[in-house]
Order: sequence, then C-alpha cells, then structure tokens
Amino acid sequence: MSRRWQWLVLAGGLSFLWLPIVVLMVYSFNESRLVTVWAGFSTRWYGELFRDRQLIEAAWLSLRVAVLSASSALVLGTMAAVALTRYGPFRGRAVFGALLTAPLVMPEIITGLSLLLLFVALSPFVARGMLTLWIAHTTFATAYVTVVVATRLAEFDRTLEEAALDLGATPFRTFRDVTLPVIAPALLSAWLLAFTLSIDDLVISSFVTGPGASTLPIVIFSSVRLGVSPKVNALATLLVLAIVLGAVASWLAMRRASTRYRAVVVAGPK
Amino acid sequence: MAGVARSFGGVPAVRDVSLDLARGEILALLGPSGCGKSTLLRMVAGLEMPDRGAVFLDGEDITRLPPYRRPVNLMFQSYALFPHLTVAENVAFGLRQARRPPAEVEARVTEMLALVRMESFRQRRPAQLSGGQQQRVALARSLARSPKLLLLDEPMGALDRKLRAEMQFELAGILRRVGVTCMLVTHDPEEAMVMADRVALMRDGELAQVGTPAEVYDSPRDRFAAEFLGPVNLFGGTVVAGGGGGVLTVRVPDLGAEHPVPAPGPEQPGEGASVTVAIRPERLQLAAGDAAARGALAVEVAGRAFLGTHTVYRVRLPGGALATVQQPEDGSPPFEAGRPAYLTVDGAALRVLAD
Repeated sequence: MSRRWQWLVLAGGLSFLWLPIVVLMVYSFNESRLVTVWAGFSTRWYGELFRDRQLIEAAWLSLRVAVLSASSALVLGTMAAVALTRYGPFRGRAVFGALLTAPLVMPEIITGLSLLLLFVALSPFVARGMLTLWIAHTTFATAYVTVVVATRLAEFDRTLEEAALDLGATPFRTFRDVTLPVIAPALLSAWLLAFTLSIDDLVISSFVTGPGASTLPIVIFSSVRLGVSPKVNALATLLVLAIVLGAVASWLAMRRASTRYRAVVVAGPK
Repeated sequence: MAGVARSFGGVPAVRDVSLDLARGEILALLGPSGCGKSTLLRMVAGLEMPDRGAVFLDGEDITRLPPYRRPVNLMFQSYALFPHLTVAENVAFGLRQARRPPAEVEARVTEMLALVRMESFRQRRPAQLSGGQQQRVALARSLARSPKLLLLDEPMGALDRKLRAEMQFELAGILRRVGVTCMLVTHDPEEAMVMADRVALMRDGELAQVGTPAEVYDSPRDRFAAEFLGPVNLFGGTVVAGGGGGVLTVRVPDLGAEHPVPAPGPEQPGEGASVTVAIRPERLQLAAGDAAARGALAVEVAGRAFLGTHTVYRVRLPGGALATVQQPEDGSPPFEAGRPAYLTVDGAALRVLAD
C-alpha cells in the first residue's frame, strides 16, 4: 500500500470518529438560529448559554454530583482494590471481584431501573433528587475506580511497603506515607474517570432523579427533543473541551507515575 | 537465634537453624538460591514469622515483634527506595517515623549522606541516580536509625560486575567504620569472603558450615562446602592409620602416596574406611624439571587456560584421573598440552571431607 493510501485511510478513520464533533464545535460559532445553516461567525450562543438559568443550574447540579460521587467512589473503590490485591486468596475473593466489577458490563438501563425500584421502596425516607443521583453514580463509578486502582496496586512493589515497615512505620503510616503517594497518580486518574462518567450519564440519572433535579445531560436531551438550539452546541463544545482536558490530565498523571515508577522499581537499578 | 524454622505451604524453607552473632561482627549467609538464606534474613527483620524457634537480640526475645518495633534494619536487594521522596527524605524517613526533632533529623541525614559520599545528591529523586548511587542511599537510609543489627539482602545483586568488586570493599569499609553488627545474604562466595568476618554456609534450609572465610575455604567440612566455595580436586582415599591428635594417615592412590591429613570432625573414620580427600587447585604445583626425587608425580598436561593472574591446567595423573592445577602467572614459560610435567602436592592443604 502506498503512502498516499495510508494517509487516506488514516484520514477516513479519524474523520469517522471526529468529524461529527468538529462539525458541532464549528456550528457552535454559527450566527444563525438554525443549526444546519451557516450564517457567519459569532459567539452569540455562548452568551445566550450563560443567560439560560435552567442550563446553568443543571450544569451546577451535574458538577456537584460528579465531584461528590467521584470522591465517594474513589474511597470505596480504593478500599475494594486494596482488599482484592492485598488480602491474599481469601474466601470468596473471585465472587467479590466479579460482583464489584459487574456494573462495568451491566446494561445501564437495568442498573437504572433497579436503582429506581430501590429508591421508590425507600421513598418515605429518601427523596429522589441530588442524594439519589449521588448514590446511583457512586455505585457504577466504584466499579471503574476499583479496576483502575487494583491494576496499579497489583504492579506495586511490595518491598516498598516492607521497607517502610522496616524503617519503623506502622501499617497505617506505611499506607499513608508510602502506598498512597506512590499510587496517587492512579487515584487521580480513577477520580477523573469517575467524574467524567458521572458528568455524562443520562440513562441512570433519568431513572433515579426526582422533580427539580435535572442534570445537564437530562436537560440537553429533553431540549433537543423540542428542537436543537445552537446554545446546546455551545454547551457541548465546552463539555468536549473540559473532557479532553480532563483526559489529557489523567493520561499525563498516569504516564508520569509509570515512568517514574518503572525507572526505579520495575527496570531496577542499572 | 535458636532453632528457627519456617515452611511455606508445607515445604520447609528454613529448618532448625541456630546462629549467634558477636557485636560488631559481619556475618555472611552464603548459599545457592533457594537454600533459605533470604527467608532466614526476613525472619530476623520481622517480615516473616518463624513457625518454630525464637530470635533474640541482646538477650531480648524479639520473635513476635512486628518489623516496625525492631531495632533492626534491612537493606533490600532492590534497595526499595521510595520513588516519591528525594534522597534526603528517603534517609530521613526512619527518623521521622521515630518522631525525632527536625534539627536532629537534619543533622543525622547530613551525617549519613557524608558517610556514603552522597551529600551533593540530597535533592535528587531515586530515578535520577545510578545503581551504585541508589545502593549508597539505601545504605544510608538503613543506617540512619542506628540499628543494633543491619541486614543486607544480596547487597550487590543489582550491580554489574565491575561495580560490584569496587563496592564490596567500600561497603565493608563503611560497615566496619560504623561498627554495626551485620548479617548479609549472598550467593557469591567471593562477596562473602570479601565482606564478612564469618561465613555461614547454608544448604536446604540448614547450616552446612560456619567459620571464618579462611576456615570454610581451606577446611571445608563436606563436599558441598568444598565445591561451593571454589574449584577443588577430590580424590578417593583409604584411611591407613587413625593417628593421634586428630590426624589421619590416608592413602590416596591418585596422588601416589600416603599423607597425614587432619580429621574432618570429632567422629574419625576408622582404619580401612574409604574417604574423600580434597585439595584446592592452587595448592598443587607444576614443575618442568625432573623433581621426582622430591616426591613429585609425573603427569601429562591435558589442557590449559590462561586467565591473566594465573593459568589453569588440567593434568592427567599417573592413575588416569584428571586434576585441576592453578599456577600463578609469574612469567615462566607455560606447560604445553600433551607434554609431561611434574606435580607437587602441598600435603598440608589436603583435607578429609565428612560424608
């Protein structure tokens, strides 16, 4: 295959993946009220976006839910990962691992439905809204956090912990002063992953949310059904940028950690 | 340590080892891989619990103490430097855990880094150091808490050959200057002999022989000890007379004579017993001229290898057996393969091995 062909195939593949998003971003700067007709460059819709109280409130809610659920998923998932990788082949370890990671493959619609039934049953005690969103997002994000952190812990050099114990650190201080800082980039990466999953979740959120607590994806989805406003393009562009920034930050954190780790531990001293 | 034993999944790794260290002594646990030497070391560090037996330090039973409560520090084979901390922070780690005042920590870190000549690397991260530099930092870190006993697990294991020889002397020098009691694990007899005051040879989870490097090298107790410490010639012999003073007279047909040889232990083999006799290659000597009058054996040179400081010859003894001779390289002309030569045996270097 000639070089020209290779470039063509590459361009074709990439545009298949990215062209829709590029078009969306370009049209977010469209002057026209009609999404599909180009009428000159303008940042008008960004201004409109920030004047739309409903959208801003939804974004604020999504942000809070994402921060809360990513944080609680990080704590739960890290604890689960430590249990999976550190306590040896305990009784029921395989079942525990399978149950933890099942949400990764569970259809969202089923997770959402089951959570809805649970919250309906609990409705005298738990009002559906931000709290139920937080709980629901934590449940699926925990599975992702567990996988990311467990992978990192599995390749973690245990002699670092032994060295800390040997130097007089109690098991708790060993975890705090050695294990946590060394796996910190993986924790950051897991948190960002959980955050992103929460921010763009639509299916589960629509099941578990209540009146007055609409997340950004829910608002966008319902507004699109009434006709696409260019405001949504502007919002989507901002979201894509935020997610790309988050992904790059997470990738950098992982890479920095793994090169540093490899240079010292995996490759060993020369 | 007394009667220490440890098994993994029913497979004994260390069985019934008892060993004493004198204050300020450097002891090398030497043995092939899988002989249990590292397990023994980890039990002293507290990273493994013995199934049986006890570990004492200064008369105190520390067997059940967790590693962070033992005045013992371990230098790991991989060094296990904390990648997220600088050199100075690595060295300070143990002192900070002991909650020493910051000024004292600072002074001690400076002192330790000076000891290993790494002062100018304080702010580096472990990943920015070479293997030899990492080793120095690891040493400084494990000495910082002034342990009563320092453990070293294959201290040269991660270094290349050339650096290894250099560091053996340097490390032993630092350890002696500090005066710390040390137990090091190695599979390299040369390393054990360079660094240690005493060598404890291990085999299959048991101590095979304990003694100074010279004792273990010159007077190996059995075939395993003889062969592990270096090249050796082994010959069959028969005890002719079990003379007094622990000296046996042994007839060694391959060496064509009867030799007085020290007995291997308290239980002396009786008259007529067949024994194995060992002699190191450097205690055999080749000569070109006819030295037969002085009791030399006429041999034939079967092969040779020039190794710089010495030449190794394979010679065929009158009985047909082969022996290895190590001849110091002093500029005299080499013995050609296929030519006759005369072999003298340093009878005082012969040893009877226990079976």
